[in-house]
Amino acid sequence: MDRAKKRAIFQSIGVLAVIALVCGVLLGAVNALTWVDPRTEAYAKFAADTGFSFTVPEEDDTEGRETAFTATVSSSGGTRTVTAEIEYYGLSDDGTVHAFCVSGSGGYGGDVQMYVYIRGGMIYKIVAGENSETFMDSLAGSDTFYAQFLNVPVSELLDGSGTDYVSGATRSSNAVTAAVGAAAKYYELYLAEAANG
Amino acid sequence: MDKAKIKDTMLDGLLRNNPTFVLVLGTCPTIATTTSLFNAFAMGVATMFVLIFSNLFISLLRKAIPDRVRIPCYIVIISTFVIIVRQVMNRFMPDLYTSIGTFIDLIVVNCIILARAESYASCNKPLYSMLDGVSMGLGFTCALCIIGIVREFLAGGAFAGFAIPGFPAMDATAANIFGFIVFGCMMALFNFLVQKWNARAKRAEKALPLARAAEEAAK
Repeated sequence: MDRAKKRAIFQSIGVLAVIALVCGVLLGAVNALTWVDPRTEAYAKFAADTGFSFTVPEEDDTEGRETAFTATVSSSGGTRTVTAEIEYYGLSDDGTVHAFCVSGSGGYGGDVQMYVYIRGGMIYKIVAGENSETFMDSLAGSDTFYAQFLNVPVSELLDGSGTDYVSGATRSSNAVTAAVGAAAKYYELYLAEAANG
Repeated sequence: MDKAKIKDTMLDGLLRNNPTFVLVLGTCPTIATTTSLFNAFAMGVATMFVLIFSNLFISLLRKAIPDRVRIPCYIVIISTFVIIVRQVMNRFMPDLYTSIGTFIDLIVVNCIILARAESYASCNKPLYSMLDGVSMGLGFTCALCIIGIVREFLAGGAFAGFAIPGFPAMDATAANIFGFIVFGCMMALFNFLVQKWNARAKRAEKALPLARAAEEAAK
């Protein structure tokens, strides 16, 4: 390979590297300006979903506690075990609403983030968060799917068994069931006693 | 600055070489995001932002970028601005990001942007390249908005997000198919009008020497 050809190749690589570096620095600056702490974002969502105020505590409440739970869910092929993990937990400022941001695995498009709210020992509200599921609208459109959890005592939802799923959206249904089950288990393990006084 | 070139550049993107109706580029976001006027407008503005800044930077670097790596360089620059749009939209307009976010990412491979980078920004001065970005972006935004208005009105029974009482909305599948029909009809109408306009301009050009001669004879 002659010298001129080598020089041209190195020049091309150099220019591309410099452009990539400058673009990287620019993106870093933009990221620094637009980044929001996901915990703060989750608390803002808690407040928006419930209408209650939630103050972000200085320390993470879930630290040192078990956050990953499994649930046995029904599907067209029988039963299977699905895992869900509590990402964030918050208590409303008046102490009545326990809010959970839970990530349920096993969805068709990956993990399904759900916001689960417990009030007075019962499921108060369920809202879908970030997900890549195609059939989440089918769940929301179903008259019975979310309704089977609402106003049900937490103690009845601990293992996910006996929960119905939406036909055609089985995997999404299972991820949601696991997420609700994880919130219920966390509540029973760490919060129910204090809540009952 | 050459005023005639500025006028030409502006008219090119808006009418003569409208990216959607004449060049038929970027048809994927055109069909996907024109379900409502608001989404169409947002997609148009996002694309215009990327067009303007990628054109500017490519034009500024046109003498430094070696020919053999020009396409990777363009892609790096374009994707940088697409990520900026994505980050800003995700932070400040989360609802809008949820509805058209996927198509914002796909601006990286939008033919309009790469075509303008390759055919215009790489061989023109930065200011003209920026103007080309503005005109192409405006042309794209206007085209999306026109299609968006028609689709939202006829398929969604609404205008700018406000439902029109008594106007039925189509189901999702029918609305998507209707989108292709609207796009085709709009393209035909636009090209018909532009051809008429061009023919009139040509006639006026031909008539100009005759008119001048008549004027001079009258004097």
